[in-house]
Amino acid sequence: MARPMRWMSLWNRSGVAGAVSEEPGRSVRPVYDLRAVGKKAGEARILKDLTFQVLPGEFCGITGPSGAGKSTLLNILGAIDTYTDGAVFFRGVPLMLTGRPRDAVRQRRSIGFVFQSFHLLPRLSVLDNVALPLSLRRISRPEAVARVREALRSVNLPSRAPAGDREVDDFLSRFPATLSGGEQQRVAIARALVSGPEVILADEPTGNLDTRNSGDVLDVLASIHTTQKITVLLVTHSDQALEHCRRILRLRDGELVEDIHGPSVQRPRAATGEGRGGETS
Amino acid sequence: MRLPDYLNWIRQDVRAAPLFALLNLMGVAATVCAVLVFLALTAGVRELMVDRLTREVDLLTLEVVLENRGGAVPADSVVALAWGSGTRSAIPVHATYGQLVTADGTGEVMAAFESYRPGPLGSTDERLARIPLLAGRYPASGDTSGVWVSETLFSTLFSDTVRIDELDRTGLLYVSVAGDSRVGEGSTQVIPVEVLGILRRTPHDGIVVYAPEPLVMAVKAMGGDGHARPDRVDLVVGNLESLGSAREIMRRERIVTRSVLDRIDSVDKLLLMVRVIFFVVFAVGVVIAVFNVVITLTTYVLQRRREVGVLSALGATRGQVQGIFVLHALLLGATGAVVGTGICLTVIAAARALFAHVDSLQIMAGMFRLSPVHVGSVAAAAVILSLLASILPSRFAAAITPIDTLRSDG
Repeated sequence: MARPMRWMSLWNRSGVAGAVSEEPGRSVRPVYDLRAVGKKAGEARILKDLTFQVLPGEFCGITGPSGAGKSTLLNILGAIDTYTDGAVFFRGVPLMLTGRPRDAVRQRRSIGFVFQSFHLLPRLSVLDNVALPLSLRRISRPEAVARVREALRSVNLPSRAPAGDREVDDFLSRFPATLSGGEQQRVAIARALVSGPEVILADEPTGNLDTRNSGDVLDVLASIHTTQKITVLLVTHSDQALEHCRRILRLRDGELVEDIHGPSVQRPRAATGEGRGGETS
Repeated sequence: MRLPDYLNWIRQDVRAAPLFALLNLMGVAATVCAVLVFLALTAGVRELMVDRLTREVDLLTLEVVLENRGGAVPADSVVALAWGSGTRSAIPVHATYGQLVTADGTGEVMAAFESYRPGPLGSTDERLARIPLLAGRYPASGDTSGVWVSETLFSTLFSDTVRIDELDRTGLLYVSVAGDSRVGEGSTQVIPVEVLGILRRTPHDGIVVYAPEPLVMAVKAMGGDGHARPDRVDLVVGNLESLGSAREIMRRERIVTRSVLDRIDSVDKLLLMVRVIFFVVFAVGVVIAVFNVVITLTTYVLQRRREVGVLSALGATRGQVQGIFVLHALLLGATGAVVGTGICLTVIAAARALFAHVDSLQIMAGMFRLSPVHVGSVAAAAVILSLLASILPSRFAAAITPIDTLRSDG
């Protein structure tokens, strides 16, 4: 699970929108490339001069005290909030939120977002909830159902194992209110996963869960990261969650104060936050 | 999103608050029903009044008032003027009592003018059947090509202009004589003469009056020595175009005419006034109904604000978000139109059944005339207005950003 990503050792900041060379003549484009990103709300500066990159396949935790700007940062990365300074590139394309909403829609469809409060639609069944991103893309119903089943299998739902077709069908027809918190969050992860995103952004995914359910959810995220090579960015206060992260970005008062790479992840050669917060390994 | 997804979303809205949805639907349906009943009623009233008017006076009758312009207009002048405009017959109508005396010198009263007072005249055929009385003899049954007249009467009537024995010679007067054609002065012998036309000098010199029956009978009735002085001549024309043509001729001569169309026009003006008044009332009702739809959809948007935000966060386009509420409005309008039409038909059927069983109200049973055009127009209007009502709420929904609704996550 803790497989080191060898291309990270070839990190550099050259090329378009932060392309990273894995080996001479070949480059890997970061999933996210932030350049002096800031956000103001009136006089208040919520984010200040954030510069870092997230490479494909990273499992990155964003942490910090309340009000540090973690969720704001995640919302910006999820193309659901705006920034006022700097530039954010998603797969080399600038995140444009104002004036070009179609770009934002396209980018949102490449991102799986997991909310702290799950945000499952209470009037829709599990099937319809998970299939929602697919129906927005006009995927046919049979294909959507198949992909929903696959996504649910990835998040170990239904919980009762082994789950036969009948159990799965029963589970698909249930409504969110009948599920436990852990199940709801895993359904939410399945919804984020079902459209095959490049990255999953999880905002305090265990914030509303007990320890056991938190563990289940984190295991699911780790499993998805490992098996499907999906980049995961996780905003969390939880040490339990941070243990799963290979890299930790620590924010304080809107500034990046630490960029910590876990022992199993090789640290990039190039500095990512020159003059800001520094980084430790 | 595909149509079933939109419908599923709307179904969830309805299931979440069925009473609210039902009340909104009934609001649209009641408006549609009220408008349809009103239209049916005004259409029915018009038809009823027109029916009444045309039952008394033929639609193709032009009433020419002879006592006008400060003096009397000769009846035969009217007939002469009307000729050529498609006039089929002219019927003298007297407002005062008078007598038509035979022109054969016997002084026999053939008919009292009183019987020609305006009033229920019946059908054109019925009227035509009465005219030959003036000539003293009925035509053969079913014979509409000519009438039987007294040769004395005939020659007397036209003796000032043409001699009967000149008729064939001139070639301008189409008179065919069947049977004995002897004509003698003072003769009272009745011989069959089929009159197909008359050439007569009129006050308008040079006007040819070709008068097949029963026009010729009217001319005879109005001719003579002044015993017959109608106050009015009813010209019966072949079609509405002829009516307009005859009327135009009279207008040029400054002769006053009346037609049942004038009364129908008056009815239409009256109904138009009623319609305008009710239109204002209904316009207010429709505005309220539209406002109701706006409120309904806005309520749905507000209720599902967070869900709309989630949809947007998951990659829903503005069009997809708007589509949900536009389709909702479309369904509300269309269903309201169908339900409203159903209620309207039921109300009309019930009213007809009720009125039909009450003698004094039977006439009202026929007062509801609902045309498919009205139904289609009102249904289309309901749908279009509902769509218009959805513009603001759907734009409002599309303007909801994910961050607005998800911020509570902290």
